[in-house]
Amino acid sequence: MQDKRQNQVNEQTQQGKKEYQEGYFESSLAAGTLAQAGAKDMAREYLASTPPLAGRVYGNIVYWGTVVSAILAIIGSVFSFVTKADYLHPSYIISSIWQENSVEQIWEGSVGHLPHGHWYLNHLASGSGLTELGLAFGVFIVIPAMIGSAFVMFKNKDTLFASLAIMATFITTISMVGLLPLPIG
Amino acid sequence: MLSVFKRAPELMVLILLAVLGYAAMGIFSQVTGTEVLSATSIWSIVVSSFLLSTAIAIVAVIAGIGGGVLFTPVVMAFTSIDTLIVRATGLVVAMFSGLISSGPFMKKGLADIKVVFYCSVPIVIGAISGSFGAIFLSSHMGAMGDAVVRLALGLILIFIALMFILGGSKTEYPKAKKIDNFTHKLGLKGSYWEESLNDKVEYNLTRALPGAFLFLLVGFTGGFFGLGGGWAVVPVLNLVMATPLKVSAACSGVLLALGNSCAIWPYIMYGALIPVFVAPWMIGQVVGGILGAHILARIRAGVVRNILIVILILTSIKLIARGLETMFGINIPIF
Repeated sequence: MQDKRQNQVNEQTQQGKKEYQEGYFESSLAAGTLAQAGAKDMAREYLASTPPLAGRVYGNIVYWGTVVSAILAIIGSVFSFVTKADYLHPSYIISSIWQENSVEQIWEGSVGHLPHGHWYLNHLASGSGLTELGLAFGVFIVIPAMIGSAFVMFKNKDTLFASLAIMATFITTISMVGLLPLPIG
Repeated sequence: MLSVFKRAPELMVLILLAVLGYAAMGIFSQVTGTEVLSATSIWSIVVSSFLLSTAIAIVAVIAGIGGGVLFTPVVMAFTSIDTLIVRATGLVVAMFSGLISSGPFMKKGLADIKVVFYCSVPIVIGAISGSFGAIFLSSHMGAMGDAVVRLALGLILIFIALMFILGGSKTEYPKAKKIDNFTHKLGLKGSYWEESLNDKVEYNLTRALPGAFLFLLVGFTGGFFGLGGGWAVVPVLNLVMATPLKVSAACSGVLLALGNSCAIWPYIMYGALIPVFVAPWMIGQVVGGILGAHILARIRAGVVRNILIVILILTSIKLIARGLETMFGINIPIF
């Protein structure tokens, strides 16, 4: 009877360890399960190793934002290829790049002028506009992620690192709105 | 591999979408050939870019460097595509693998959010300054100034690679002998579960102030060459600030995304980010980035170190060769 009970505990412990190692557990319930199964040390380690909320908030926003941006870019690319009159037609654009044309030459040959600013917002119905929106959304997603993470840190009274996050957000936002244009051309 | 798809079904969705998308672009294409390229060649360039980008992203995430370090020199070396387009695309390549791997790194506790935010401010300021500095130097010293800096960088990278080789296993889980007051007050310490050891690894960072200064330089040099800056983030975190190698690699990915997101906006607004050319590189980085992040958590840190050493040496050879080529007007036929 005692051997049977011991085997059952061993099995539960192995299962708990396996699930833990595979990363299925997300909450303290995992630690409880491990502790009940006899793996108390591992349960303590698990709780101590749970990543901070601010990091998970940042990671989740950036991760899912990037997935959305990739989906937008895929859909946009398909539209560019399967529609006849895209804003920036792929055959002309790729051939121009292949011919070693400059950015100015490519845009002037395609739409007659350099774009300047967030040009894609005026061409969201075209494949190129949608693809560029996907790219820009992926670049932008860092800003809400840092704000979200900083908010959690402020709530946890971790003001120093929250302030650093806000400072980095501020610099990135300045770059996004074009107050720090690259001195090119 | 199947477990990766189970744990990240969105990866399966993305791969399916990419495969279906590229198939649809081939089958229902309205793209006509030009004098330079046939319709099939145009489609092949797009698909090859996606596949190459995926491979680059896997290596980049595991090594904790930006894919831009691989992409930018190779494209600049073997093609004559406008350097502004290459730089803009290189920044996307460097950024998106780090961007997509931020989620798994944070979820697994590999990337330390405090370390990331502490280093983000100097790296962002450095990256912007580097972009402006590159254009300033280019207009005053031209190619010679560029060659001198590339040569110096190549030598520095060899030095860092040697430190990794001679440091042995100590660099995988470095222990800070003395924690200075500034770092102690910041409270830069943490722990993570090391799956390959089945144990918790605790760490205390040190030398936060020189680390911040170095990140300013790393950001500057990264922005200066348009390569990102991950190739130097890992050595600074690991060798200077005593961060475990895996945490360094993970933080490097997150920091790259942060730094490059700031540098990339002017390129978008100028029109240097050409959507049809950049998109396959970006999508490849996303797919490869997720795969790389899941592989990183399951392989031993030593494997990461070895990959890193090889990449550092190869990059340094490339940088030195390019510097010498420009300085002496010679041709050095290497990879």
